[in-house]
Amino acid sequence: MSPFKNPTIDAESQYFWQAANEKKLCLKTCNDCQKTHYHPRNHCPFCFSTNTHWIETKGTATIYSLSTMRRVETPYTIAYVELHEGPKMLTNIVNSTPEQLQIGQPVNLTFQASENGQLIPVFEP
Amino acid sequence: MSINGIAYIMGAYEHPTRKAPDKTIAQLHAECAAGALADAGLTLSDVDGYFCAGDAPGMGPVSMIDYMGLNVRHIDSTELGGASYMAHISHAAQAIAMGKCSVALITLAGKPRTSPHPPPRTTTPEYSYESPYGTTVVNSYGMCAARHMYEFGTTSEQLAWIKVAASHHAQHNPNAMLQKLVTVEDVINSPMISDPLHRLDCCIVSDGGGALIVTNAEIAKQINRPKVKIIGAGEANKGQNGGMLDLTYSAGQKSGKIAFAEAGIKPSDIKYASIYDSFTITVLIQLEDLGFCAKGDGGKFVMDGNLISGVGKLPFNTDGGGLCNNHPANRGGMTKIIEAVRQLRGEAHPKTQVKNCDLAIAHGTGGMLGHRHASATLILEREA
Repeated sequence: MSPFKNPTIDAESQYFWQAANEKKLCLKTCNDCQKTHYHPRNHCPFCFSTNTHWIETKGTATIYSLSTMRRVETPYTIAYVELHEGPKMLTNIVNSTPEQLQIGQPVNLTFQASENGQLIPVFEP
Repeated sequence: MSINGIAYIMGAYEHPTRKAPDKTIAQLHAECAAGALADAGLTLSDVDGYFCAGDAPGMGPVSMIDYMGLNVRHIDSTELGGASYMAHISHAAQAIAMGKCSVALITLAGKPRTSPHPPPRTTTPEYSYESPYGTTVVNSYGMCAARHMYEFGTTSEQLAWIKVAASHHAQHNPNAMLQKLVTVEDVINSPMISDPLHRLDCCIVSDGGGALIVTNAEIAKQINRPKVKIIGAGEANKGQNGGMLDLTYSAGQKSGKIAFAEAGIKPSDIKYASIYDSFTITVLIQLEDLGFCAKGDGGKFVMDGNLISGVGKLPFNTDGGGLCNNHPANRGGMTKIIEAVRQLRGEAHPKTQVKNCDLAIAHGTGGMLGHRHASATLILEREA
């Protein structure tokens, strides 16, 4: 069974999750203030414009902070990664042991399927 | 215009229970209300303003006012998680200043220890993007602690001192859930929950509640209790900021500044500090943000018993706090204010009572420090 719960997909996140199923991690950039934000939403959180467009990330990032949950059957590592495009994103670090991970380390985008097969963007060393 | 000197906390009550399988949440709210009213020598019919937050069952005040038989003319259900009750005190003072009420009742109660977990709030705007990743309260704070250690060299031993100080105080509190004195070694040898936070870095889970009474100056004069004057308050919010986030500080940086400015005092004037302690790291980051030490120096500041009453420079959470005493409804703000009131009245436990305690701070954080949260700060003064 997948360790990833199915995301609740709503009108604002539908594009993001469809893109994830095509192995793309997409963010939004504002056409008015030029800033890129995460998580994606209808109004730019920096200038409140609705004039935004989707961009695809390169898929490279560095670990900003992390914490491995130990008090569960299968420990997992939650992290904020700083994306090449600027914003930090909440995610999991996979395909590694906690001892192999540290803040500042480069990580790369990969995808793992949730219980119903939805691809979830995650990162690996 | 300011709330400085407008209103007084004249009643305070902390429910003695820490496990209440046979009581309802509404009943606990009512028992706390009765306790705070008795403390102030007032009755339910004196109350003309009611305040509660998300812990109140049903539609908050709509349910609770009807259940308790209140007859009020001012209602406020500001919901800032564990920081709600600091905001309620401030909002009560504002309402009193505008003549909207004269006696405000604030209640909190909950049963996280004996009730099932509430379902997640799936309609929050971030839920779609965060729910697959296994966000919990402890790993959210764990990420804050990990980043603080990375940037400033903070250690697990330094964080452990915060729990040690809380346990020094809790040993004198017969109602505290954990009354055993612990050492730095006990904390760092306790099981790792979510790196770098150990089991003893985490607060307790307890059933219970508390209530407060805020009155105008005229009514305060008629009450035969020490007067705790509200002299400053601040509120702020901090989140992921569209992905431009920084986990090393909290919204307390802003709420504290606002509160100290309104009170016209400095952090060094404070004799006693009630600081929200969901985790040891919560205390450390907030002490820095409130100006008790420089950003990054929190680890050094909390070491060697500096937070222990009678030992250190800044006695904190002298009831044992959420780390040892009580964390009703998973919301620590109410009990923080209650212990600050005890200290200013000179009614804390003799072993933990701060001498000449005339100025206190009560600071809360609601939500999750590593995701999005609100902070609310109160500055209180004993009126001679």
